[in-house]
Amino acid sequence: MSKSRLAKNSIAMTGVVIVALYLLSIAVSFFWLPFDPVAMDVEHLLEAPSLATGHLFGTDEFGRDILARIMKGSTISLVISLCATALGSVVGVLMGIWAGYLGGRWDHWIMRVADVLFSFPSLLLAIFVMAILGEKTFNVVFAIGIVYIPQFARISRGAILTIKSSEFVRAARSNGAGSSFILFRHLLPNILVPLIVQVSLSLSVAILLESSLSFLGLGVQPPAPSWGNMLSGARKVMVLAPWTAIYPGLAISFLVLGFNLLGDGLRDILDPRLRNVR
Amino acid sequence: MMPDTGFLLDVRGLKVHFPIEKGIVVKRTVGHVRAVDGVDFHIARGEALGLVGESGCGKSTTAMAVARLQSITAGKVLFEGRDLAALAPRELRAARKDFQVVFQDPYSSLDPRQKAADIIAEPLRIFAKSGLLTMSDTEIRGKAASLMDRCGLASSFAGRYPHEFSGGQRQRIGIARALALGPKLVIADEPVSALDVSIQSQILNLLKDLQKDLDLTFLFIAHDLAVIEYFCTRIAVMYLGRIVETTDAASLYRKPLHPYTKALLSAVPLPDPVKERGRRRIILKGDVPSPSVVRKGCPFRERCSEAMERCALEAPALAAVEAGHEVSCFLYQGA
Repeated sequence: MSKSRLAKNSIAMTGVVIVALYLLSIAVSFFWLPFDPVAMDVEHLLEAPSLATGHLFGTDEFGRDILARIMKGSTISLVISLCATALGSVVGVLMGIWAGYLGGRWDHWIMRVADVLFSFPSLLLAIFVMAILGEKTFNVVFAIGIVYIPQFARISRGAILTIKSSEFVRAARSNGAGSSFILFRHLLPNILVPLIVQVSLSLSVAILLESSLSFLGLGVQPPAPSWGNMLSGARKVMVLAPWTAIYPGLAISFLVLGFNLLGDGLRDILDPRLRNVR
Repeated sequence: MMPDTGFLLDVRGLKVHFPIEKGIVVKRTVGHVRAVDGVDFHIARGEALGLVGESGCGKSTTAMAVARLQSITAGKVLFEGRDLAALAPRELRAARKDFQVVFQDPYSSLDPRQKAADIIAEPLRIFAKSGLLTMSDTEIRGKAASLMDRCGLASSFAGRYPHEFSGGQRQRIGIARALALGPKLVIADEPVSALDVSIQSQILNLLKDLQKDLDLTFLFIAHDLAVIEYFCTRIAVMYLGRIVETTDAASLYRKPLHPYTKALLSAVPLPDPVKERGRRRIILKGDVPSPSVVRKGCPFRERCSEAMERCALEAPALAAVEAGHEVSCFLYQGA
């Protein structure tokens, strides 16, 4: 039923197709890359894209093939984005649902911690975390995850508050159900819709945050390719060789677009008020 | 250990107060809403006690407190002589199989993400999981199927979700769930007030059949006097968190004593047009006083046409006027 609704929603389908293309390119990159993404080639510095040389997207200031680096970088970007979203959503949702369900003092303190995290602009908070933890790829996951925790905590708390006084929760209690049973068997399944939408939107923001951190030199460290540090390298030679900036930039934009379309589409599909609208 | 009173349920001096809090950062309690303020009643085995009263009089809160879904401020809820208010959480969980609730709103009382058969089987699964019940999963499924059948639900409905059912069918699911553990007492919190009149009678008949077949005892909450008269053997009338009159169903309608009960009954239209013309409505003046104000005297005195000097000074206690008929009004109590 939900499959056909996904197929009928052209926005969501566009998003699915875009994300699928990236996943395909990642799968391909494990077995085949047009060039070695980290091998320097001093004879082909800053070459324009051309079929003749085989550098379809051109080369960068070290003569490395841009297509190969984008393909390799997409793995890193997506893995970071997935792991960071997973970390932020799991921790944030657990915090939020317990805060919402228990209420009172618990709610108060958990949400004040979330408010403190929330009060920093996300990039600033991520930079702050990276500065403390050090510039390692794994730490990027941590930095973005921490940015996400208060967002997921807020959404899940709010959703729990609206349904926790439902009679079916009382019914479960009168049947002898304990708190965690009610929380994980009754409440969590009923707030999944906004969470799924938030996850898909968070994936795209994580891509942007990771690129920003890498662009600032705090994220994925060279020579390992990431879209952000590719843009950072391109900054100096952008006027001479615009392709060094255009292709990584497009790679970011399209994936972000893909996740956003998916998120928007899912919101429409999963909204029960729109469920029976044809 | 409390002495066994012989009643299935014996509620004594039940109070449920809700604190009124003020302040955003530092919360302080500035008063209490006395939703239930000293309620006494008892239900014998096999009886159906109806609790009536207008909105906000505390009847649902009483029901929730008896079902131990609401914390109790003071008082005792003796179930087969055991005080439910004093049980440890683990004992309470085990005791819950003897008293189950049918909720008012058939829409919000069923988890929208659970299938009908799972909703009905859930109490059994919870009890089986915590070791309070030995039943295999196949047995549980069989029991759920027989409960569906008993409550007039086709077996083909088992895999459907709540939104695929009508209000009446949903309430049948709620009733089947309440019966799953084989309770002795069913607390029905306005089980039909959210339903169409035609469906109401079906559900009431179902409950009546179940009561006869399964030997159930009912605490039945309603604001509809016709529903109560049809279903209940005894009736307790509530006003502002207190019970003002309790008697068997027939004599309440024949001979209401408390001025509030009289006013309540006079509001019911009569089907016979000749009698209806002769019906004299007692219109109550004013509103129900706020349950957050501590008051002296009878809670009903401002709205009572018979109020005396004494009513403002002390609150009348519930006292027997004749066998099985108790009223809390000075009109029927000698000085």
